[in-house]
Amino acid sequence: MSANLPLFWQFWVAGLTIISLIFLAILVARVYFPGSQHAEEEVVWDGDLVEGVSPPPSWWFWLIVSALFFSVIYMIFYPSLGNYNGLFDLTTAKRYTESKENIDNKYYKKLAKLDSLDSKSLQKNAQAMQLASNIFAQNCSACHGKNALGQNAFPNLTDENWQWGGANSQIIQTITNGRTGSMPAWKAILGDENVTKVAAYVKSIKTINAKKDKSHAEGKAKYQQFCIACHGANGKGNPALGGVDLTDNIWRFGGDLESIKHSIALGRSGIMPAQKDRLSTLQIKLLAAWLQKSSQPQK
Amino acid sequence: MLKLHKTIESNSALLIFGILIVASIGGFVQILPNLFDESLRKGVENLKPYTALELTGRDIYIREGCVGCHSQQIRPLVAEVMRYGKKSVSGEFIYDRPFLWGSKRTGPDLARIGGKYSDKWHKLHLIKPQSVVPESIMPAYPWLAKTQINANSIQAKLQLLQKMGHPYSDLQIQNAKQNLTSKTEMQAIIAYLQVLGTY
Repeated sequence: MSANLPLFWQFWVAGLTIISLIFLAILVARVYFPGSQHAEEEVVWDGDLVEGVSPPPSWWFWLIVSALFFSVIYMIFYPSLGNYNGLFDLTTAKRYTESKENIDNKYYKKLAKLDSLDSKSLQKNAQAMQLASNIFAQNCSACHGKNALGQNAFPNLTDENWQWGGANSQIIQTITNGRTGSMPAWKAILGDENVTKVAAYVKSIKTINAKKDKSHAEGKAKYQQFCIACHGANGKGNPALGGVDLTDNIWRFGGDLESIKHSIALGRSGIMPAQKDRLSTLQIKLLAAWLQKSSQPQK
Repeated sequence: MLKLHKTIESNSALLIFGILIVASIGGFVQILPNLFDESLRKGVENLKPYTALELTGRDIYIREGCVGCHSQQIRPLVAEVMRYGKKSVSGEFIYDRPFLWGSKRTGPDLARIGGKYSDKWHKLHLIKPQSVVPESIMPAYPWLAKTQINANSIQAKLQLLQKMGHPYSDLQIQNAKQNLTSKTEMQAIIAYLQVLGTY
């Protein structure tokens, strides 16, 4: 029963339950021990044909009696009458707390020592890394893929490139509070022609011997006017703003000229949801250590 | 006793009445008192009624039968709370008519799915679940992205809910149809999913 009924309804519940039990008991007693009333009621047909009186089988009687007995015992020990929780004092809230304590003692107490370790020691702890990999599989793999390799423009977390910074504290920040990456659409400002020029410049930004013709120079000029705020003068990006590195070989949205043009013209966005309400600080700490360990320069 | 027995048995109206009384005692004890428990009817803090777009998404959720495989109720069991978040309470469902608790979990519980994934993930996932979760057995719902919302009945729906006590302003109802123009069903259902469990 609900644990906070008003007084009237407590009496209502308890009263109805007890009255129906008593009524049942009386009914059973009257059926099995009818007394002498029956003789008068007996109807006789054809001189000797009578219905006769034969009570229901006795095992039936004992079944009902034991069921009644059981109900009374049950009501004493278990929650049944109004707000009465029974001698066992059972409530769902209490049952939850107890099993939570049980799990904490059996399992999380053992993990408490991980809390005091720094990320370097966590990375050397095989058990901790296994745990982190499980946490990742359960909570992160839907977007970032099973082995953190990324999929569908959800970033690969195993390369050395970190849009929001690869330091331990930065990764923890990213997981805890999420990130909102937003590349604005430049089509209206730059125009189609300039979008193509900037795209071509961006594609060749790391090429030292790029053909330095007029178009390249114009692209570079526009880049320096509009793009350097986030992507930096040398195209190395800026983790504080989520400006990605344009000089590596990692292209979330495609590195061919058409894809780059699309990214510049129409913009891109990427949202990392905050996990602070879903993961504990220890879980996030483990994840950050594990991710740093799996992050390797691309061959 | 036997006389009473005979009276009841030989009068069918009385017999029907008696059966009804006996059969409803369980309901009188288990159901009736809860109808007068004010604490069950009070909304949780900061809970807002569904916007026109979210409400449309909810109707699509119902139409597509999502409730057949996804529950929206986190039971007070440790394993569930660890996986899905804090347990569900009745005050979270006061704007759900009817509630979509569901009774079967072929897929995961969705009571607190809001904010867990980005809108983009939901879109990819609904168009082809296996593109983001390869082992998923969820069917694809690609038509949601191609279908425009039918906004013809949204104002009537909101007006009805307003009459039933949902705090919609007249302005909200007036603008409802406009808010849905040129929106796809995909946008509506994502808006609905993203609001689940966030308050």
